[in-house]
Amino acid sequence: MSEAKEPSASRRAFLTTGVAAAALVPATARAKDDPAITGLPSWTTTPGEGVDARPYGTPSQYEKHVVRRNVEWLTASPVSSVNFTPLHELDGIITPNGLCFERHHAGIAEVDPGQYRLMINGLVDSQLVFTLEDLLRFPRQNHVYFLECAANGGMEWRGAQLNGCQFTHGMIHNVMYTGVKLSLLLKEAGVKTSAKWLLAEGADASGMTRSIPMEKALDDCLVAFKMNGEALRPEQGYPVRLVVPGWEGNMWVKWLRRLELGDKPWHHREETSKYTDLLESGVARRFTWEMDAKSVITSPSPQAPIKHGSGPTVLTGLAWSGRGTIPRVDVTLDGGKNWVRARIDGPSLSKSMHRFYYEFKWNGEPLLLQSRAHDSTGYVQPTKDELREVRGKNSIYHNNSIQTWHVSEKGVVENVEIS
Amino acid sequence: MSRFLNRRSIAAAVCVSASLFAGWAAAEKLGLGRPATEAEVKAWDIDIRPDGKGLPPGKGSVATGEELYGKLCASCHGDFGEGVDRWPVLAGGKDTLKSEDPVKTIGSYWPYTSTIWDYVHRSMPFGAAQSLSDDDVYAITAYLLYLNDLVDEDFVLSDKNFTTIELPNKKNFKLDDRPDSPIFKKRDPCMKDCKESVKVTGRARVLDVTPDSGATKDDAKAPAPTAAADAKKDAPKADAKVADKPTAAPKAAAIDMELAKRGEKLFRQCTACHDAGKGAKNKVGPALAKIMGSPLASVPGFKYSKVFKAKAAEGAVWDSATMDAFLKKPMSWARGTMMAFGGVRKAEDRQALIEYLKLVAPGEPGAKKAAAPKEAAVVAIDAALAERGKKVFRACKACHAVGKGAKNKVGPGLYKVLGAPIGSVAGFRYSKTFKKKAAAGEVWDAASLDAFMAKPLAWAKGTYMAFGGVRKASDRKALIEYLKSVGQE
Repeated sequence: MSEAKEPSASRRAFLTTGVAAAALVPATARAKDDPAITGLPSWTTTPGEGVDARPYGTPSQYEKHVVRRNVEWLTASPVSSVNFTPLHELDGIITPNGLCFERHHAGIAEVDPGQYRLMINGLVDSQLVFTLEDLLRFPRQNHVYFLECAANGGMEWRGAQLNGCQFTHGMIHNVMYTGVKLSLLLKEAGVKTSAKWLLAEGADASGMTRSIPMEKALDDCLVAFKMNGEALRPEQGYPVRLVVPGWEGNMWVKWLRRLELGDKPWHHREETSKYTDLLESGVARRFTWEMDAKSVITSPSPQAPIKHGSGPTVLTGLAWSGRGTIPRVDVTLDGGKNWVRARIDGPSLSKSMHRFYYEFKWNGEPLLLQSRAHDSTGYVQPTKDELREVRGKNSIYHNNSIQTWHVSEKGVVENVEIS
Repeated sequence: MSRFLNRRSIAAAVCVSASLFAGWAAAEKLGLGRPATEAEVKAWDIDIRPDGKGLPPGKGSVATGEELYGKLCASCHGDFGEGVDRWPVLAGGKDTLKSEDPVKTIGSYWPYTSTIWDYVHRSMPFGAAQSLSDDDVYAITAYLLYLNDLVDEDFVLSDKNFTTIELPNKKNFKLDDRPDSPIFKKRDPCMKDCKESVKVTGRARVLDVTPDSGATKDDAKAPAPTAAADAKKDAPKADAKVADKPTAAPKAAAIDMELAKRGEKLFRQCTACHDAGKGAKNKVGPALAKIMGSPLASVPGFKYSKVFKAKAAEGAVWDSATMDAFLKKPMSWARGTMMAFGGVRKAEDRQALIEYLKLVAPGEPGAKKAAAPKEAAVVAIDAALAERGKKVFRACKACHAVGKGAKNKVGPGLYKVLGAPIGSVAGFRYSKTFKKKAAAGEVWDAASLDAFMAKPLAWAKGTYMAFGGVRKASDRKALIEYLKSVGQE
């Protein structure tokens, strides 16, 4: 093995034990007695911890590697930075709360719910203040939505760079929110007809603000206080965040403290100097809110190599669109010469992640894996070259192109680009 | 069980009164919440729009802005807005938007002046948001415009002339027209025999910037040129060098020859005034024969300025931290120094210079250890100042215990800090940045404490001390005097 070039030590360890053990022994051969069966493990003989040991449960001690991770060289300080969801370790469509990626501009605000206030001001009949208790007295709704940072994949514009879908695609999570429709709160204040825009503002030390057009505010936005059934995590905006379905994550203002109605957009920092997409011509697009349809194979992937050798293999991945549902995902094993339809399993909800699978028998030859999402508007996820053709390489944001993974005959997976 | 039955019967009783169950129509208001008072709206509604809506009355000059910027902004954004490490670049970048490496600054990219005012006012300085007065914000905005060659040096920005200042790149923004692009056309993509051959054209492994899977042993790796996070190209290489150091034995810190070699080249700009290496003589500046690890102002025969004499009296030592701070801004780090030199702007250049000095001008082995604690022990305490420091220290008490046997809280226990090696409090879990400093043999002296307290997050990038910093130099001095006094009582 040319070990020097293997991506990581732990992956090597996996391979030497995994591949050697599984691939070479035919299923029909008589196996040696397995001590996992013939021996009595301690968990079978001895009682474990009682119900009082873990009042808030945590994952198994064997799952400690399943964590959010950051890329140190990306930003100047971890206080104004991002970490990434370990997509390669997850299945289904819901992201567990403790694994939802984080993006803060001035760290995690620890807001005291007793002192939480939400103000509505500007072009309304009556400027109002709500406490958290007040918000809990409005009718609630539950919706599953993905939240994707507009910069997800931003490091890959110039070429394949990071080995792992956690890093190339992990600025996303998919959560069931419980909250109050923003339109209900606005109705309570009485929106004036001159109001065309809404400014959402956070209570953190960055004072995050974004301008949102009224049509969206009155359409499907939520003022949410629960995620996956429990209170929002501090890093996700506890006690209250804005939910802007299908639109870029930066607009989902956390620690939401104020909603102002106005007749024009505010053109604040996060919608001018950032979150605008520079094109090759030197012109930049602004207000690029919707997240285009996208998909990625989460396993096999660089952090989830094939360890079992040739034979039955499960390929799985995620697809989503800010414009609706994902009725179809195509998968190729040969770098796009031939495609097959993947099987979508689980709920198909608008502006939510979709889980897809493709089961096949791997013959042990190298593979070039790709997935291609189709959304309910008919839009088809573009290749990297197709996207660069219309966007150049300087956009940073909204890279929704097709990802390629190279699988070696040893099952090692690498992030590559292909012709 | 009876409890459940009870509740059910209560529910049944309540059912009788149908009006209690009246739902409410979507069109109707609930009457929840309360009216916001005028003062409340004023307190929170701080946003500014391009048309000037929201601007408070006030004004500020470029000159005032320069002073404020130097104190509050330059440590991250650079003296000229060029950006330190990965902090945002604020000036320059003209005509780069179509290039391979666009530099998006206020002058080259931002469309509106109001964005500067609003953002500085609501979020800056980093770590002390919303601490600036309106006039301060006008002044800093004016200075940022000046740094971008958009106004003259005698310009004064005010609410009166604000909307007349247009940024040059305003015209180069357009609305989202993604749906008009060819890739949005409905397509029925090919499924079979779509291409003849496929070639791998690029591999992530070539760049190798993925963090290792071991969460604790991450090496800082040099990223390739990328658009990511508006990253700068040159900084990470220097970071990688720093990260290498902890593996070397802390005592005989190995010299990075490649870095030192680069430092030698950079040192050329210093040779007009400084002779370096064995047998070096004093010129306009002191001979640099034994510097790294030596006490400040200790070169025989050189006539030092007052500021250096004072620092020497405090027991300060030339280590990587003090040298870096001095080289960065000689005249502000050592106010009144005779070294009429603007400073070395790039962190990696300073690192190279220091590496070169370590190579050609190492101090006496052990000089650091001998000098600092002894000096600190002899220094008399200004009791009144220490008393004032004790008061200022109240702000620190939530996280730091002080005195003999002080326990670690959120921050390390503080006892005999002056002269102690950085990152040496037993049982405290230090951030990487402090571990690095510890591995480099850095010591807490008045200079390093002052620099740290002034801007914790900038001086020790990645520190867990989530504290904005002590702005007043006099407060920092008092704090240091207080810390000195602890352990000497």
